[in-house]
Amino acid sequence: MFDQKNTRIIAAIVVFIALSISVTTIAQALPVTDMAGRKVDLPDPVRKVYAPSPYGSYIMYSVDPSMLAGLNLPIKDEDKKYFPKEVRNLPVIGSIAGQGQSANIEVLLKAKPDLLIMWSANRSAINKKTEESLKRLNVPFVYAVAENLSDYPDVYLFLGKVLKREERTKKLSGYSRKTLEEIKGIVNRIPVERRPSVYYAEGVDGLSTECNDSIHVELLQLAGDKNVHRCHTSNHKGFEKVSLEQVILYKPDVIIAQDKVFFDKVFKDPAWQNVKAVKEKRVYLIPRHPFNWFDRPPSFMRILGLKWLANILYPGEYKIDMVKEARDFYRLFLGVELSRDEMKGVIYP
Amino acid sequence: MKSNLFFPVMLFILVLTAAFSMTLGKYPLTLNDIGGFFLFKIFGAGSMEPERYQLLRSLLIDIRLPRIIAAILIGASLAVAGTSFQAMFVNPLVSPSLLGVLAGASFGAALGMVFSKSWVAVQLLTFCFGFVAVLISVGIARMHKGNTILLLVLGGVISGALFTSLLSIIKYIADPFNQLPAIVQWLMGGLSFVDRKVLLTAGIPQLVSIVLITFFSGYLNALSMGDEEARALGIPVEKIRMFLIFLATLMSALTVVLAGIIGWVGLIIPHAARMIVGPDNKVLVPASAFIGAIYLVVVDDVSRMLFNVEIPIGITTSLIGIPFFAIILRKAKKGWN
Repeated sequence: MFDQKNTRIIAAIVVFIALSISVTTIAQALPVTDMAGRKVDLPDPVRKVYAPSPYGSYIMYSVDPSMLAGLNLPIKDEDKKYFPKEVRNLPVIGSIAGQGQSANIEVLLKAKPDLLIMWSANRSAINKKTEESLKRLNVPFVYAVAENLSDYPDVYLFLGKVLKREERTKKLSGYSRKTLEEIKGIVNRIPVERRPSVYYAEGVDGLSTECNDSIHVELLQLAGDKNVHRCHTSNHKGFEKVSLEQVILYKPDVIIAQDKVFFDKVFKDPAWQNVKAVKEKRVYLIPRHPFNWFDRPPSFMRILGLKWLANILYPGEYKIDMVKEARDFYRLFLGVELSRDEMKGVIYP
Repeated sequence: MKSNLFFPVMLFILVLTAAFSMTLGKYPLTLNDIGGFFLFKIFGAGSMEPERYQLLRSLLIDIRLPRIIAAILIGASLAVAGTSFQAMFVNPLVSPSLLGVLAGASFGAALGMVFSKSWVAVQLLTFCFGFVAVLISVGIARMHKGNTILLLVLGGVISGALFTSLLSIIKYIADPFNQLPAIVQWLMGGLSFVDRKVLLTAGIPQLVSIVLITFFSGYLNALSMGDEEARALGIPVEKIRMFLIFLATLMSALTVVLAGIIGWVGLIIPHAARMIVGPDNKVLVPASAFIGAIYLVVVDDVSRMLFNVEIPIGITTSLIGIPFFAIILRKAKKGWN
């Protein structure tokens, strides 16, 4: 049935398969427990990683972007200057399940990641469907779990261990921990009644907001917990609609604005002039480059966002040079050096 | 209804509804406050602290009034556009979205929200793509020979489907954290988007269109008998139809510019009006305008008062419209003939 030529080819294939199996066996080592409590055998070394959701990619931008096999979302042209060159040139692969454009599994295979970084904001919400579709890749994955901003120091240490970037992530983790403790200390010293109340304005009309217990306003919770919209979050998406009359009634001392269209008109629109914060000119637009400092998406940028917010709410108690702080942060976390003027352009858009 | 009193009564109800809506809001204002404010503002009667005056002015003139006016304009526009479409296409089941204007405008809005920085550009794109979608429908109908009405309807199906899928593409490539929720919100409609400047710019063409369609409603009667009969009466069917389609598109696209997608008004209000005043378009068109206006003002009151958060008005109009439509479906057929 087989002639000699065929037999030889088959033999060659068998040898090749056997060899490649043994090579992979040698490469496999290092058992590790990930943040969801799963035991995973890590490949060694890990050269390329891919994050199936943008959240995982965000944290990789700060850990070591050169390890990314590809991006989930394209980087906007205006934001390119905030990334090192190796990130700018990465191909857009997309994401698995949810958030934006979905990845083609074969493109992903071609990109050859050694490890997948799964991101989960909540241990219970681990997405089985994503896991199922990722099993086809036959690439090991680890979970990085951050339910709160206060989990970030641990996430950094964990990723440092997994990716062998311990020295770097120790710095990032230390910075995050220090910031969280610093702000906590300041807020605790200020009695609740002296903390300014805050309205968080989203959308072009500024009339979408979040309940005080929403994951979208974690920074407000950390910086004094005086969100005027006190309710129980009805859905994960947020964006709860309120009326302008309600906002006037809330009498917020400060407005934190998410949308530039809204921010540009708020001081001109006569309807808004009766809101306390507008009268007192205490409306602030959240910096958003390369990604938002406050939320949407929730990322490590919120650590800097927390400083920014504390500085706005307690300028007397928390005196910092915001431009300098931000430049240090961008240098440390994003690996980019911005001039003072460029930084001002980000902070006061 | 033959009575000459009908329109004055409708106007009275509309004014009454609007006035009543002025008293509704999350900020508690008593009738005394409101009465006092208008007495002071118009006649200079009584006295008022500047701070209080400023607050009342803001609540009543800047917040509630533009919203109520927008509800009136949008309700009337959608109802009149729906009425003229139903007559023109000799079919009681069509709505202003028949030729794809809402799909096109939705796409334009989403496109602007994703790719443009200025809100004016978003509004322009919304408006333009409403027209582009209708032009495509008309273009498709013109490409082929045959029953114009049928071809227009099919053109509308194609154009609507095209822009719906283009909208999906935009949603797909939109930033899932910021842009996507904004687009979704917009597609659910809401009068909180209305601001005074846009209201002035969009309101005038809307009013003019309503008046023009009322003026041309005699032709609608002829068109509703079918093209052959209308031609036999010596009416330039094609020209009149294109002109009416243009007006209806203009009004409908502007409603999206003002407040996003508000469905079902253009379908059910003409039915409700027909049940009250009968099928004569000379009466039906203005009656639809009034009923649509009153309806949307009331629905918006519900939207903003029912819960602590606002319900997008597109949801409310659909939830009310669908059962209503299911109930009158049988009557609709009867009322038509």
